[in-house]
Amino acid sequence: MNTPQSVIDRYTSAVMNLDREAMLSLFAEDLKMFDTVTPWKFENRNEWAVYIDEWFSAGATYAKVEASDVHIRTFADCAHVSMNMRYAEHGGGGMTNRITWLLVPDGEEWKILHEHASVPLHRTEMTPQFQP
Amino acid sequence: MKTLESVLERYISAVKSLDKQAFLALYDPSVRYFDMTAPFELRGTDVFGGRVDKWFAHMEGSEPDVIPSNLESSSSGELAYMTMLIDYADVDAEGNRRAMMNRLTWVLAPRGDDWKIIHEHTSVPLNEETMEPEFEL
Repeated sequence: MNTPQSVIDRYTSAVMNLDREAMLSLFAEDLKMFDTVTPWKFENRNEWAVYIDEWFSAGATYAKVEASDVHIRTFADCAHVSMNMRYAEHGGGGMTNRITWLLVPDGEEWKILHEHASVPLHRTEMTPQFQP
Repeated sequence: MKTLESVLERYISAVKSLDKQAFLALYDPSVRYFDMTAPFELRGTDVFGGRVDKWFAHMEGSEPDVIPSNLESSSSGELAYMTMLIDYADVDAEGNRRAMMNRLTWVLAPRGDDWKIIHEHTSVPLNEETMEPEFEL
């Protein structure tokens, strides 16, 4: 059985390499996703795949993708991860997301059954805050 | 063992009655909280409690309501989760109804005969074009 940490490592690698298949292989078919940008939700992996195609073909390339403040709880039939994920683009742009994962075993691998990614809003101006 | 649905029922009841103690009792003292507004995270009900004070003070006299939808949940013996869209509505001083929708994820762990929220992630999405927050589905 791989570990939730290995899912994080493969996620950062997939984004760095803009590798659609590697990215999709991390997710369960019945994925439910709340992503940082609209739409409000994706109801399965096929819907998410369409967005990944758009994301990875949008032109951004990444100098560094790394997780920090990682909390992992692993049990026999489920695991939970919460973390910050920094996406540093070539040229200096990028953002940090809060990410929550719920993972379930699928054979010898953990698959992401639920992802919730977001940035917080400024408390009075309600503008997005892209870095901690 | 109490059910996950009862956690949600108690959450709704606590917000509608602005009952801070009942609200905080739903959370593990070490909760990791990703709220809709900054900072990126809050840790522990001691810190989180101050935010609840401000939130409930803001809603005093406003007939708050909480309406979940798109609810999904699952539990094993050791961990449970709930995901939903949740509408927070109230009435302002001029009598106008206000509403804001959030995406909500709860991760819960068993504590005695009850589930406690050990992690909450609440957010709204940013519009893909403008990167402005959206507060309605």
